[in-house]
Parts: sequence; structure tokens; C-alpha cells
Amino acid sequence: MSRSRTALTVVVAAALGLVVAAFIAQWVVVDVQASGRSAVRVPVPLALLRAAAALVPGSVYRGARIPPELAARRSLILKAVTALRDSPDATLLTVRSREAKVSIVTRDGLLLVNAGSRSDGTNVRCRIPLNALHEALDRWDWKTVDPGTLLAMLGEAPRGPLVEVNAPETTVTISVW
Amino acid sequence: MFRKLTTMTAATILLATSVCLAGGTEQPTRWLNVKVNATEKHANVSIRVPMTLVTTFLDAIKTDELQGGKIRIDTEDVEINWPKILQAIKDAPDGQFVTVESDEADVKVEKLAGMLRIHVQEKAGDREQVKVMVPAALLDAVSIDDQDRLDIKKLLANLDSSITGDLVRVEAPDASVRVWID
Repeated sequence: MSRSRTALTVVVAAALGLVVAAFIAQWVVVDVQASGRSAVRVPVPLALLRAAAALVPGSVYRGARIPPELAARRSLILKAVTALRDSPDATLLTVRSREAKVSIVTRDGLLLVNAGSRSDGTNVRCRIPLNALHEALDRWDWKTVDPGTLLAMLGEAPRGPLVEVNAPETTVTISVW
Repeated sequence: MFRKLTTMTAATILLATSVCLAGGTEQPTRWLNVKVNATEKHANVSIRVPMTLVTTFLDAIKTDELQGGKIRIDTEDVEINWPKILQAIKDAPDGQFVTVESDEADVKVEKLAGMLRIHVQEKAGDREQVKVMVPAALLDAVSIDDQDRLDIKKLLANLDSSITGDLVRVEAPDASVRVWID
């Protein structure tokens, strides 16, 4: 009787732990809607993605090499991100033309990129946390594709949508909650 | 006990004062703004970037014309004594002091109310008109070496913090460009 009670307590505690972890943990949600109907919605705990990324052997990414020209610009890119991170909020770029509408804004530590095509109505919006971007780029080796770096950045991102692509027939949203 | 409290209070006041002083001397961010209005293409481009970012990028750009923050001025093998010309412009009184009239275009350079104004009126083709306005105070920060390279990095670094407002304005029939600092 006592043994079964102990086992039950352990199971209940584990279940409660999982429920609490689910609420506390960050989730990455990929939402794909086609023609107004929710087609695919994939919520994945960020911790699970990190664990999965850590298990993937390095040889998988070996084929995708980072161009050395990009690595040569490491210092410049880091300085640029630092300058943007440390500057007050501003609208850095706006482009308005017959074909496109683009804006790049810094607000509350986020780089907000909004690009839209007037011809086909496609719109892309990104929210990039500058501090997390700087930390991720600083840690990255700039030689290999490293999903861990990207996931670390996601972990630092404020909750809400990070990337939204609105095309006439499809909407894709990647959010962190 | 009382002595300890007094020492702690004094240390706190000293620390707070240092923090306030440090905060007070912090330089406000200066921004470089560029606005391009291409009327023919119905396109407007506005750029606003912190000066720190501009100097960072200037260091990195390497082209035939721009290297190490210096831009080459194409003078077509004509030897120009830049320091002498710049000094002459700086010392010149207000008024129109250069007028070049040719079959292709008329060029007028004048200094008025602290601004250097260059006006080019094309006579042939599209009869384009270009107006460039540069604050005369900016000339103090201009440095051109003996290889006709204008040091933009030095120019931006030496810009007096009091210089704000328009740096350059170009007005052409199909486009207007404004560059200013705030």
C-alpha cells in the first residue's frame, strides 16, 4: 500500500512538474495558414529544440559552409549591431516606391523590419532582439552553420511573433511564447 | 556606530554625485539623415543612422574611390591646391565669388549667411539644375590630402557638435537629395 502510494506521488509530482514546465518554458510556434484556414500549427518547447540541435552530429551541417567573406566582416557586423543596440530608438530606413514599401526601425531593443511588395501584396515583418543578436553573433564561430546560436537568440527574444510572412494565399508566423 | 553611519552616508552621496556627473556629461547621439525624393520614379528613401554606425561602415568600405574612410576626388589630372582653395573660400566675404559660364552650363558659387551655395544650370539636354548647399563651418573640418582624397572619416569626427542642420542639398528636376545632421 505504502509503495503504491509513493509511486502515485512520484507520478503526480512528475505530471505537475511537466505542466508547470510547460507554462514556464518558452515555446516556438510555427503557424502556417493557407487561404484563411489554419493549415499547420506546430508548438515546440524551445528546450526540446535545443536538445535536438545538440544531438545532431556536426557532419550534418558540414556541407553548408559560411562564405569566408562574411567571416571577414565579423568585426564590422558586430560593431554595427552594437551601434544600433546602443542608439536611441529611431526609424533607420523608409523606402516608398511604386513597387515596394520598406521600413527598418529600432524600438525597445528590437530591430523591426517591415518589407512589402505593392505588386503582389506580400509582406514580411521581422522582430530581431538586438542584444540577443549581438550575443549570438559574438559567440558564433562564423565558419559553420550553428542552429544552437539561432536557438540561443530565440531564447532571449521577447514573447510574441518574430517573423510574419503574409502572402496573398499563405500566412506564416514564427512566434516565441 | 555614528562614525560608521556618517562614512556610509558620505560614500553614498559621493557615489550618487559621480553617477549624476557621468550621466550629465554623456554626449547625445548624433544622427546622419539622408532623404532622396525621386519624383520621376515616385520613390522616396529616408535614411537615419547614428554617426557611430556611419564611421564604422566608412572604415569597412573598400572600393577604388573610397578606402579607409577617404574618397578620391576626380580632378582629371588637374593639380589643385586644396588647402589654399579651402582657406580662400573660408576667408571670402558673403557674396557671389565664382561664376563660370559655358555653352554646356552656368556655375555659380556664392557664400551667403554662413552657407556655401553652388548652383549649376545645365544649358543643353534636360536643362537640369543642381543646387548644393554646404555650411561654411563644415569647411573647417575638410581635409584633402596631396592625392586628392577627401578624408570623410576625419570630417565626421571633427565635425563640431554645434553643427546641425543641412549639410548638402541637391535639387534636380527628377530628384532631390537632402543630407543633414541632428
